[in-house]
Amino acid sequence: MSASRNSWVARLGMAAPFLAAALIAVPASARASSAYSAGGLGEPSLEEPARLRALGGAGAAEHGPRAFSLVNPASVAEVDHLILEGTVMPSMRRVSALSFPSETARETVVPSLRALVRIPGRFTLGGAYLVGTNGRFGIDRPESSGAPSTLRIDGSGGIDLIRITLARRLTPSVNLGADYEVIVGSFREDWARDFVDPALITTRDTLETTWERQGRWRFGAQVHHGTWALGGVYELPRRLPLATTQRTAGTFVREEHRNLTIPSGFTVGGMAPLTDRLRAVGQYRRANWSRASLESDLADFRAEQRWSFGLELLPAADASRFLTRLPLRVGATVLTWPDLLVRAGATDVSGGTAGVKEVAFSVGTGLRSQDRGGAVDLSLEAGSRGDKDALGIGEKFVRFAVSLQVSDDTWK
Amino acid sequence: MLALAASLFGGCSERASRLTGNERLLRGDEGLGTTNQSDTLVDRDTYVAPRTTAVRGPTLLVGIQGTYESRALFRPSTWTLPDTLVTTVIDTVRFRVEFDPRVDRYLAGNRVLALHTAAAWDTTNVEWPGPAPGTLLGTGPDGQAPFTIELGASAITQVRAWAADATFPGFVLSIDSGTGVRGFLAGTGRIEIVYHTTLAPTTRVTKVTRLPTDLSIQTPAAPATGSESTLLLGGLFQSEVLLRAPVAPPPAGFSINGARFVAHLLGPASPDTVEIRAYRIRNAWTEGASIDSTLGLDATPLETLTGVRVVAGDSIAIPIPISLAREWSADSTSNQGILIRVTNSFYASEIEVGSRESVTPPVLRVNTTSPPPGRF
Repeated sequence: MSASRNSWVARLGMAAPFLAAALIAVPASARASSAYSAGGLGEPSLEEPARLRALGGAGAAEHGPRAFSLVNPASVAEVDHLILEGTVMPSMRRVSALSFPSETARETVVPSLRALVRIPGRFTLGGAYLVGTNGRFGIDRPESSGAPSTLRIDGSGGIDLIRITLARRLTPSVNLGADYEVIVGSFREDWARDFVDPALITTRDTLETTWERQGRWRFGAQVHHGTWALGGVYELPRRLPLATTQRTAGTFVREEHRNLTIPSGFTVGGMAPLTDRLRAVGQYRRANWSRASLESDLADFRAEQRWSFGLELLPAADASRFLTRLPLRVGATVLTWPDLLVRAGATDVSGGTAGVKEVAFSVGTGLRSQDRGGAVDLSLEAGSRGDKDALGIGEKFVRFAVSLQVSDDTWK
Repeated sequence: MLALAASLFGGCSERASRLTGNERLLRGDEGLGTTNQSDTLVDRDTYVAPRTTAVRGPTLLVGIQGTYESRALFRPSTWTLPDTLVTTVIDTVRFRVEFDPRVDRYLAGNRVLALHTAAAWDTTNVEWPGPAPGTLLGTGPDGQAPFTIELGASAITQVRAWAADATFPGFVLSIDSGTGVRGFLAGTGRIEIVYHTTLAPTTRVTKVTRLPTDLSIQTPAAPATGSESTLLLGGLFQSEVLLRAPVAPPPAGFSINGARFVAHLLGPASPDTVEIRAYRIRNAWTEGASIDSTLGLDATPLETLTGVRVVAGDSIAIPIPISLAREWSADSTSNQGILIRVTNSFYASEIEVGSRESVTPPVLRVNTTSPPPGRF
C-alpha cells in the first residue's frame, strides 16, 4: 500500500506543473457569481485554499512551512522553499425567486493563485492573485418601456487583488508580515436590446466602472507556542477615484466624480489543540464598509463580517491504512455581505434595503506527497444566502474546491 | 480529482440564472432605458426626371397622353432575305412586334401607329425627340396581337436596299392617331418577308429579320417648382422624389437604432403593386433641381421595397440604414437625403405623395434609446 501511494504521489508531482497550468488557464469568462451580483459590489470571495475552506476559512493563525493563509501575511514567514499554490472551485447554485421559476446555475471560479519563495535574510517573498468580489451575472428580460424589446445583460468583473507579501520569522514564536495589495479589476455590463419591430436595430451598450489601480498595506502578526497560535491582521483603507463609462454606437459618456473607498479592516484568529490529534481554529474578520465607501442610490453598504470555525482531525502517526492517513476537516462560516441591496419591489435605496447573510458548512481532506513537497486538498461546502422575501431571490449553493500545492521539493 | 469535480459540477461550463436575476435588476426610477420615436419634417423635397429620356429595358413605350409622348426605335443588325431567284414571288413584307400587356395606359379611341424609317441616330446617347422620322412605311391599328404594319410586297426593293446599307439607321414606331400609351416587348420587333416559289405556289415561307437594337424615348417631364403640395413619383414620366431631413444628434449616451422616411400617399388608389428603391444622394441639391444626373446617386440602393400598393391615406416607410442615420447625425453636411425611384414605373399609375407644403408632409422618423442606468 505504501509503495503504491508513493508511486501515486510521485506521479502527482510530475503532473503538478500541468495541473497548475490548467488552473491558470481556466478562463476569466468562466468566473461566475451570485444572482445578487446584479447590484452592489458582487459576491465576496473567500480567497483561501481548499484546506482552509474546509475549516470555514479560519486561517489567521495558520503557520508553518506548508501551512499558511492568504489572509495573514505573517503566516508565510516559515516557508522554506519555493511554493506554488492554486485553487479551482466548481460550484452549483439553486436560485429561487418570487416571480420566476427556480433555476440552477453552474460555474467554475479560480479564487486564488499564489507563489512563495524563501529569500536571503530569512525573509519570505510572495505574490498572489485573488478575487475580492465577483460581479458576474446574466439576465434576460422583456422590456416594455417605449418600443417593446428584450434585454440581455451580461455583467462581468469585480474587485480583484494582487498582493505582494514579505514576511519574516522574528523569533521562534513570533511571525510578522506585510502585504502590499493593489486593487485592480473593474465592473462591466454589456446590454443588448433586441426589438420586436424588425425595423429597429439591436442596441448595444457597454457600462464600465473602473478605478485607479492603487495599493494599500496590510500588516499581520502571529504568536504561537506549540500547537497554540494567535494571529491578527490590520488593513489600511484606500480611496480610489472612480470612473464610469457608457458606450454605445456613436456616443461615449464618461463620468469621474466619485470615489470607491476600500475600507480598513482587521482579522483575528486562533488555533488550539483539543486532543493530540484534534485541533480547533476560529477567526473573526471585518472590513469596515459603510455608506461613505461608495455613495450610490442603488446600493448601501455596511461592515463585511465573517465568522469562521473549524475542526481538524489529524491522522495518527502510526496510521497504516490509506484512509486513516487522511486528515478530516469540518468547518462552518457565517458571512454578512457588505452590500445592503434594494429591497424587492423598490427601485432604489430610498425604498429600503436588506442585507445578504450567508451560512455555509464545509468538510474536506487532503493528500500530501511523501517528500512533503506537494499536496492536494479538497473541500466541499454547502450553504445558503439571502432572504427571498426581502430581496426577491434566495440561493442555495454547493462548492467543491480543489487546491494544488507544489514546491521545489516536488522536482527533487 | 479535477475530473471528478468537473463531472459533478459541469466543469467550466456556465449556465447562469438568467431569468431569476430579473428580481434583482433594480436600477432606480428611470427604468432600464427607453426607446422612443420622434418625427422630423423634411426640410427639402421635390421631384425630378431621370437623367435620360431614353427608356431601355424590357418594355418599349409608344403613345401620347397629355404632354407625354413616347416612340420606339428599332435597328436591325443582319438581314435575312429570300433568294433572288426568278421563281421567288414575294407575297408581303410586314413589321411586327409583340404587345407588352403590362402597359396599356389611358387607351382611348381608335389608335393607329405609324412606322417610319429613322434618320441617323446614336444608339448610345439618343435623347428625345430622337431621330427625325423619314419615309412613312405604313400604319397599323392598335388591335390584334401581334401588332402588325403591312408594308406590302413592293417594299422588298427597299428592304434589299436597307440590307445593302450597313449604316441603315432603322425605324421609328410612333402613334399616328388616338391617345394612350401602349407597351411592346423589347426584343420582339422584326421585319417579316413572306414569299413562295412558282414551283410550290401554295407553300408560304417567312424570312424573319430581328431588330435587336430597340429602345423608347419620351418627352421629359415638366420640372417641379419646389413649391408643389404634391410630389409625383413614378408613372410614365418616371418621376423620382427627393427627400432630405436633418437628423439631430441624440443626447449624450443615447443611441439611434431606427430611422425611416415616411411619406403619405395622396392617391390615386391603384390595384398595382410597385417596387420602390431608395438611393443615397451625395451632392447638394435645391428644390429647383429638375434631373437626377447632378445628384451624385449611389449605384446601390439603400433599400428596396417590393409589393408596394398605393392606398390613399396610407403611407410608405423607407428605412434608412442605421449606420447612415448615425453618420448624418454626426455630420450634417453629409446628409443630402435620399432619392426614391419606382422600378419600371410605367407599369403602374403615377403616385402622388404629400410634399412638405401639404397637410401631410413627409417626415424622418427616428428611434432613439436612452442609455441604461449605471451600475452604482
